[in-house]
Amino acid sequence: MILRSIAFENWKQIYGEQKIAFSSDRDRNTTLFLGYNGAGKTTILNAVLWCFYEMFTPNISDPEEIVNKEAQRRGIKQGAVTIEFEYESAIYCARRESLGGKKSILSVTKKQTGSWVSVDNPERLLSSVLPRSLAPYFFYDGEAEISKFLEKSKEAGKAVRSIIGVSHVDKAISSLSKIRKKFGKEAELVGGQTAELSQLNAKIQDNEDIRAKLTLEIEEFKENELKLREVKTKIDEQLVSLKETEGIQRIVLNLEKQISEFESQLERAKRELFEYFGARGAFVLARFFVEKPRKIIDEAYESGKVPRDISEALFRDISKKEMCICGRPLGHGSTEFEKVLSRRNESGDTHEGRRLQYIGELVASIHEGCEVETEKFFELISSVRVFEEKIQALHDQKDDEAKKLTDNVGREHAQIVAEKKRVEDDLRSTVAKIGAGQRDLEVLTEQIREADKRKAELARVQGKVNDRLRFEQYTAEVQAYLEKWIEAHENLQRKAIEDRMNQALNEIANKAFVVRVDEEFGFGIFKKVGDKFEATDGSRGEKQLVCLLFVAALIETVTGRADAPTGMGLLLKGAIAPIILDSTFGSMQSDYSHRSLKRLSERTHQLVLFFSDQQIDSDLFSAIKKKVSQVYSLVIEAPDRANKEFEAAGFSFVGVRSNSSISEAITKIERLNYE
Amino acid sequence: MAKNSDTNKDSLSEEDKNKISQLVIEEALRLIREDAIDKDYEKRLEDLLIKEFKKVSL
Repeated sequence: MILRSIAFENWKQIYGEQKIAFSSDRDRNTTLFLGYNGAGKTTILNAVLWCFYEMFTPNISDPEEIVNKEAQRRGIKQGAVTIEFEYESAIYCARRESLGGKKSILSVTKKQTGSWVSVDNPERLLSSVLPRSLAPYFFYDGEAEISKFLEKSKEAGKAVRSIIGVSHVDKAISSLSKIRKKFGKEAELVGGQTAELSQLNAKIQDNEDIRAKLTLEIEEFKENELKLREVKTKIDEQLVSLKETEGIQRIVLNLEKQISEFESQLERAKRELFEYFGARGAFVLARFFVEKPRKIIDEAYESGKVPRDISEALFRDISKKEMCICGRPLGHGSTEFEKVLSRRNESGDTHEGRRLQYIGELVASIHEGCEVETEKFFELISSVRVFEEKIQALHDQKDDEAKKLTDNVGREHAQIVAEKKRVEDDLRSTVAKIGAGQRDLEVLTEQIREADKRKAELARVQGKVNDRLRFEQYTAEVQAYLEKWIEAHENLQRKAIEDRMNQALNEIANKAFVVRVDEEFGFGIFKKVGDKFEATDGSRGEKQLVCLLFVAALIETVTGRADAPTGMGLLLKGAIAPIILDSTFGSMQSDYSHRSLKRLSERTHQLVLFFSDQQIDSDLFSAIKKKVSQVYSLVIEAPDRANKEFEAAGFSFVGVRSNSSISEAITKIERLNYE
Repeated sequence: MAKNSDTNKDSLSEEDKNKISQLVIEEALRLIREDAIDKDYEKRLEDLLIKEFKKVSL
């Protein structure tokens, strides 16, 4: 950045509008401001800081009173500073206007083909031109307490980090850390599914075992059934062979045949009902249950409205459904579900609560469009009931006949009839067990199939877990690499700054003392005693020199980077930055100030210097004269009364002028011709 | 991708680390140039890392 001009509008002690140009020629790069103490030197430095960063030097008075008092007296309520500067071959104009108190607004425009175009996010632009953390070093207040400056090693470290671009890499490292954690978390999340996978494998294995056992049991039942049937046939043959029971036995056998036929039909009806539930029953029942929830569920379990032997599978099935027969998803989150869930939450963990939770699951499956399915459900239920009733009637009839049989046989045959009853009971129980076992087998097979499907999904997830774990590790490696690199790079730059400062000290102070910069950017002054260097506090002038040389070393670091490539070697391209020094040489011995000033004016792109009458002499001016193109005098204009006070204080040159039209002292900036 | 002989665990080679670190820095510089908001930056950085890590994982 090169400063071109600065314009003030009723800003602090500058009344009205005043604009000045800076020396911006590379060969004659120095601008001088001369003025007595209180004339406004630090005000100009503060105007630059305020305009760019809305900040002030520590010692400024009334930082909240921006608008010039004389202007205020005349009803003007706004003060502003406008700075025109060059940056990367373009011309910009930064303007900050006060909005009362500490509030202000910044705008930046860029000159493009003759017109000024507003820049979005002006603060960020200025921050990229010259970061705020660097402002105190480039716009340097020499009157600030030196010891504080030297103690602020952290601040100096921050400035260097900012200059060499490390602060941006810090940001990258912090982001890497977040991303690494995110990868870890993602792996953990899907890792939870890995636990599910092992549970699933165990469950599949258990189910396989149960299935094998069940298959074996069913085989045994079937064998048993065959045996029982053979026994029953023999008993029946025995009973038929008895004259007195022949007629009744034939009726019984006929009834048994009918029962067997109806039982087959009942089994088919039940299977159809079961399959219907398995595929879509949930939605049908959901609607059915919601109409009379409590009653229906209780009845379903307790009074067998839903056939008892399939109810367990049915309800298990119901609670899993989340999609309607029509394909519409009706899972958690549907209005109906939420309504019931909210009631469930109000009910707490009570029987009622659990019931409502259950109903909620059912409600999630409701769909008006499935009315027809509800009707089919009732048809199926009735058909099961019809068969059950028919079978029951036949059994009653058979029981009557069996009683007649018992009444008609002699005592010697009662044993055969009793045996037949026992075998029939066993047979019925075995057939029921086979039916139930086969249904359980189907359920198990379905569960294993579902689990295998889920297992395949989880295997894909496992791949993602491995990826995330690997990425987490890689990110940590890149992060560690960058941290190590930053440390090395920072040390290198710290050493370079120390070398630059000592190189300057060699020239300026004839090797009388050296500076050491420690890892925390703390500065140590070492004086030459004999052949050795010993640590010393240093005089105020020496401290001033060290501070100035640190600033100069920073500038050289920045300037040295102006044409540097980006990449791992050098991070940020350096910016050409101006350096404004306010009253830097107060306590410095004159040869130090002459040499350091000469060195600075030769090595910086732009230099703005403020001097009071106590700080400049002809020798100092001669040292930099060749580089100076603009000299300004800061003139105090004061009303008569004030003028007298200044005169009484010993001011007698042009720096103080009477102005009867104002009530308070103001600063006038005038271009000065010099020899 | 190099193998770390101490742990016998896959890890990035010095060359990979250097290359990816440079890309990370370039991304950080782009953030400044393009005035991107931080959230975008982290997302972009994450995408970049995933892309590069996938390459070295092949």
